[in-house]
Amino acid sequence: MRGCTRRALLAGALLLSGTLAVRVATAQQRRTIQGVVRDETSGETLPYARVAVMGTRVTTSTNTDGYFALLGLPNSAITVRVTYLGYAPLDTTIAPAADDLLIIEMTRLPIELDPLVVAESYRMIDIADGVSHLTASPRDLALLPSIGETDIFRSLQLLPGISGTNESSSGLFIRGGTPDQNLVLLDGMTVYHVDHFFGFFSAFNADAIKDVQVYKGGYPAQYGGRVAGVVELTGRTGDQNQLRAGVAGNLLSASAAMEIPLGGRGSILISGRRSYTDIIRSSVYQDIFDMFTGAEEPATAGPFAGRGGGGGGARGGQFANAQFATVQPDFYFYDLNGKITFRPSGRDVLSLSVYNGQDFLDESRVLNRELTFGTLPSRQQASDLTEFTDWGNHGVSGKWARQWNSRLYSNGLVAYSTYFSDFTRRTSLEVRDSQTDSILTSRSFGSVEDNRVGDLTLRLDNEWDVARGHKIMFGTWFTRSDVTYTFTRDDTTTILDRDQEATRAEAYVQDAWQIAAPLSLTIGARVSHYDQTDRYYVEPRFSLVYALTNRVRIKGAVGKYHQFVNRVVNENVTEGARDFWLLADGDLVDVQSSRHYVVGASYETGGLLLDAELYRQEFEGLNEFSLRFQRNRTVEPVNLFFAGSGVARGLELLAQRKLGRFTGWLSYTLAEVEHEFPGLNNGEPFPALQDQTHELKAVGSLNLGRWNLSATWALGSGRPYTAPESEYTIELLDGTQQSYIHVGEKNGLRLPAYHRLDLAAHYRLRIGNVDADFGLSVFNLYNRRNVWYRQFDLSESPVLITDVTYLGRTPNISIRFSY
Amino acid sequence: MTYHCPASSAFASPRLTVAVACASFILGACTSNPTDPAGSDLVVIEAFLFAGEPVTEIRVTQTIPLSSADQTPVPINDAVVRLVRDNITYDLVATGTDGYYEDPGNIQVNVGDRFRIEVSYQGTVASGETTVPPPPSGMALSSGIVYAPAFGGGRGRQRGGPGLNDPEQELGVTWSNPDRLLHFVVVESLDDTAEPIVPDQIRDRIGTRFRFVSTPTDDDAATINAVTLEFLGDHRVRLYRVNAEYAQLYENRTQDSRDLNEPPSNIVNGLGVFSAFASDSAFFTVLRR
Repeated sequence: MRGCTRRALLAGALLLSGTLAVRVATAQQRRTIQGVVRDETSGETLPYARVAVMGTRVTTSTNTDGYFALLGLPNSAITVRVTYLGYAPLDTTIAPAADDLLIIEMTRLPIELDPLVVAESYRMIDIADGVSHLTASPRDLALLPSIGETDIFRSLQLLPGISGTNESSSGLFIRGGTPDQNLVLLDGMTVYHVDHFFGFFSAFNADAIKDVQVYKGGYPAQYGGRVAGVVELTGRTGDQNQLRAGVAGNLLSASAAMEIPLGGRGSILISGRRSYTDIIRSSVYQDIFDMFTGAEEPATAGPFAGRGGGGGGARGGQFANAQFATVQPDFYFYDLNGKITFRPSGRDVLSLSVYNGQDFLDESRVLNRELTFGTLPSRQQASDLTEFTDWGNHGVSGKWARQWNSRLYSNGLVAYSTYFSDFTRRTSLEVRDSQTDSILTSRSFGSVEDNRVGDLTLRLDNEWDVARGHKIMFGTWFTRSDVTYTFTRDDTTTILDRDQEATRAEAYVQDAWQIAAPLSLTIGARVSHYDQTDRYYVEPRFSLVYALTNRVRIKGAVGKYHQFVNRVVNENVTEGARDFWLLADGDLVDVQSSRHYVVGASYETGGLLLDAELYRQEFEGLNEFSLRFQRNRTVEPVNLFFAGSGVARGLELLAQRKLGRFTGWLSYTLAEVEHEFPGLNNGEPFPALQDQTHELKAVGSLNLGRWNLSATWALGSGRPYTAPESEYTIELLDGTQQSYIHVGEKNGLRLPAYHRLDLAAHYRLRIGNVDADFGLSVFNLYNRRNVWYRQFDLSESPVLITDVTYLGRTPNISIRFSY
Repeated sequence: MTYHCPASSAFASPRLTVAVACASFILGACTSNPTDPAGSDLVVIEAFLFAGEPVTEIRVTQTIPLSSADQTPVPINDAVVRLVRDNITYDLVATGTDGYYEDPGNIQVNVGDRFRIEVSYQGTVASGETTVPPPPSGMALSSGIVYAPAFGGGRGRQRGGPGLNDPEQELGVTWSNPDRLLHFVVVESLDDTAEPIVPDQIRDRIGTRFRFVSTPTDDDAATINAVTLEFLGDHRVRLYRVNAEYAQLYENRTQDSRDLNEPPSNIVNGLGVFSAFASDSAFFTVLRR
C-alpha cells in the first residue's frame, strides 16, 4: 500500500509539472481578474464566496480574507456572478482593460424580506462544489429553533452525516467519528473542547462568527491533525465604516457586542456572553441542570459527567439514612471574543483575535448524618464537601496576510490556545459523640483530576494561482503541544500523572486542478514529523468532481489522516466519565490514523439540490481508559489503556429547497460504526457508542415578511448500550458471598428510537436605526421522553431499570437589539 | 424496537460498497436489535486449589436471571468436571446436590503447577487456567495474645466505642513482600466451643455479626483488630499468596448503562473464577481482659 501511494504521488507530480509548463507558456495571452468581495455596508470581507464567470464553467472562491483571482480569461468584457450565503447574488461586468484589484460589494439580504423576493442565496447551508464540504451561514442558522442560545454547532447537527440526536454534547459526531476527532479552528486557533453547560450549548457565540466551513470527510491537504472532519470558523471583523452595538438576552444568558471602526482601515469587534444561571435560575436552566445532574435527588446524586459527554446519575439507596443539607450548586459560563483587524494597504491584512470561554461549577455542600450502632450512643458525622469543576478554552491568534500580486497570497499565523479541565473534590469528615460532643474521628481526603492542553502553532499558508486551471496551495505548520494530566485519588493514590510535550512539523502541497471544464481534481499530500515517535507520516489526498451536465455532478475523495493528540475515553464508573486529552506517545496512547473513501453525486438546479454520498472511514489507534481492575493495587498505566480500531460506513442523502419563502432540507443517513478492541468484548467487534443506523432530519424555514417561522424534526434509531443480563455469586475464602452482575455483549442492546420536534418564531422589525428581533422557541414540542441512558439499580431485586431521559418540552424566549 | 444493519461485510471491498449500501438501503435488509436485556444462562465456576491440600473447593452453578426475585444460586450437579495438568486429566465427581465436586483420587497440588479446569454442561464447555503460586515468606505476628474489647453498659465500657485505638486489641501481621505481590489474610477461630466475645444478648440486640475481612493487598503488613473477631480462644491467621484473578473478585461494582463491563473472570465460555493459593499460618489467642 505504501508503495502504491508513492507511485501515485510521483505520477501526480510528473503530470502536474508537465501540465503547468504548457499552461504558463500560454497564460501570457489571456487576462487575469483579481478582486476582493466584501459587505457593502460594513466593508467586512466575505470568505469562501463563490465567484463564477457567466457563460462558462469557470468558478473559484474567495479565500479567508475575501480575495479571489481568475486566470486565463479571454481579453474581453466578462460578467462574474458572486454568491454568498445570506447575501443577494451580484453580477458584475468587467471591462476588457480592467486589471486593478476589483472591489465587489455585496448587499446583505434585509431582515424584513419581501415575501415575493426569490433570494437564491438565502438558504442557511450551501453544499459547496467540493466533496463532503459545506458552508453554513451563522446569521441564518440563528433563526432555527434553539433551546435558548443561538448555537452554530447544534444547527450543524441537523445536516446529514452529523448526528443530531445527542443532547448531551454539542460536539459533532461526523460520520462515525467523535467530536475530538474533528479539527475545530477559530481564526486559526485550535479549539479542543466545544461545549458549554455540560454539552448542551457549543462554546461559540454566533454573534462573533462570520463563516463556517465544514468538511465531513476526505478533506484536503491544507488541513491536518485530526482523523474525522474539519470545522473552520472565521470570526467577524466588525464594521469598518460605522460604530455598531447590540444586546441580546434569553432565559439563560445575556450577550452584547460592539463594533468599532478604525478610520476605514480596520475595525475592532468585541462580543461577550454570560449566563446568569448563578443569579437567576430560570425554569429552563433548572430543567437542563437537573437533566445533567440527576438532581431530583438532592446533593450527591452524583458525580457530574458532563464535560466529556458522560454523566453521573442517582445512586438509589446508597445514602438511605443520610440527612442531606439542601444545596443549590452554583453554575455559570461565559465567553468573550475580541478581534482587531487592520488593513494598512489594499493587499495586507493584520488581525489579532482573542477567545476566552469557561464554565464554572461549584457543588460544595455540607452533609450531616447520624450514625447509630444498636443501643450504643449515636454519633454525628459531618462531611464538608468541597467540589469545584471548571473547564474552558483560551486562545489568541495573530496573523498577517498579504496578496502579493494577482497570483500569490500568503497567510502567516501565530496561534496559542489552551484547554483546561479541573476537578477538585475534598471531603473533611468529622465524627462527634452525640452526648459529649467530643471529636472521635477527624480526617480529610480528596481527589483531583486536572487536564491541560496547550497548543502553540506557527503557520504559513500560501495560495498560488500558477496558471489557468491550477491553484496551488502549499504551506508549513509547526505545532508545539504540551499536555498535563493528573488524577489523584484519596490524596495519596496517583492513578495517572502525565506531563508531555511534543513537536510536530508539517508541510503540505495541493493543486486544485481544473483539468477540463467539467472535470476538476484536487491532488495533494501532507507530511508530518512527530517527535514523540520520531516518524514521518505521509498523507496523500485526492478528490475529484466531474460535471456530467450543468446540473449533475459526480464526485469522490480519498485521503489518509493522522491525529497526534487524542481524547481518551475514560471508563471511570463510580465517579462519572471524565474524558481527558493526552498526546500520542506510541506507547500508552497510539497515533490515530484514518482512511477516508467517499463517492457521491448531486443534482442541482437554481432552487433544488439533491445530494448523495457514500463513505467509508477506517480508524486505527483508538483508545479507551479504564480503572476497573486497578482499585486496590499499584496502578500501572499500561494496564489502564485499551487500544483498538474501527470502521464507519454509510450513505447520506440530502434534498434541499433553496428558493422561495419556504426553504429547508430533508436528510437521511444510513450508517454503521463498528469498533474492535482486543482487550474488550473478548476481542469481538462491537458497535461504537455513537453508532446510529438510521437518522432522518427535516428543517424548514418559512419567511413571511417580518415573521420567520421555522421547525426542525429529527428521528434516529436507538443508540447502543450495554446491560446487565444475570447475577451470580461466588463464595470467597473468608466465607463471604460476593455477588456479581454478568454484563451482556458490549453495546449489544439498543435504546429506543429518538425523535423530537422543535419550533421557533421570530418577529423582526426596524425601529429607527435599531434592528429588533423577538423570538419564541419550543424545544421538544410534543414532549417526547427520549432516553439518554438506562440506569440499573442493582441493589433492588429484581433489578430496577430506569430510563434517564433527555429534556422534555421546554419553551424559551429571546430578544435582540442591534444598532 | 429499533433496527440495526449489521456488518454488511461486503463493505470490506470498496468496489462493492456502492452496490451493497444501496441494496441495504433500498431493500431495508436490516435485522432487529433487542432494546431490553433478555437474561442469560451461563455456567458459573468457583474453583480454588490449595497447595498441599485435597481438591474439594470446586463448585458449579448457574447464573440467576435479573428478573428473578430468588437470588439463590442454582447448583449444577450433573456436569462433567475435569482438571488437566501436564496433559493428564483428572475427573472430578459431584459430592451431593449443592454443586460441589471433589477429586476421588489423590491429586497432589504443588507450587508452580499449571492446572486447567473444564466443565461440560449441556453441550457447552467452560474452561479456565491457573498456576499455583509460591507460599508467602517471612510471616510473623506482633504478639501471640490479643485482648477482646469490653461490651455492655458497665465499667468496662470504653469511650469512643469498643476497640478503637487500643493497641492491646490490635495484632500486627507482617510478611516479606519486596515485589509487592498480592496477599490475603484470613482469621479463623480454632475452637468450636469457644465463648463469644460479645455476649449473646448483646449480639441479638445489635443484630450485627462481626467478621474480619481482608481484601487482597500488595502491602507487607495487615492489622487485625479484636473488634472484628467473634470468639475468645485460639485462632489461626492464614496468609495466602493469591493470584490476580482472585484479587479482582474484590473489585467494586457500580454499574450504569453507559459504562457497564463484565466482572473480572478467567473463565472462558462461562463465568466465575479458577484460582490457586499457597498459604502460611500463625496462631494467636484472644483473651478477655
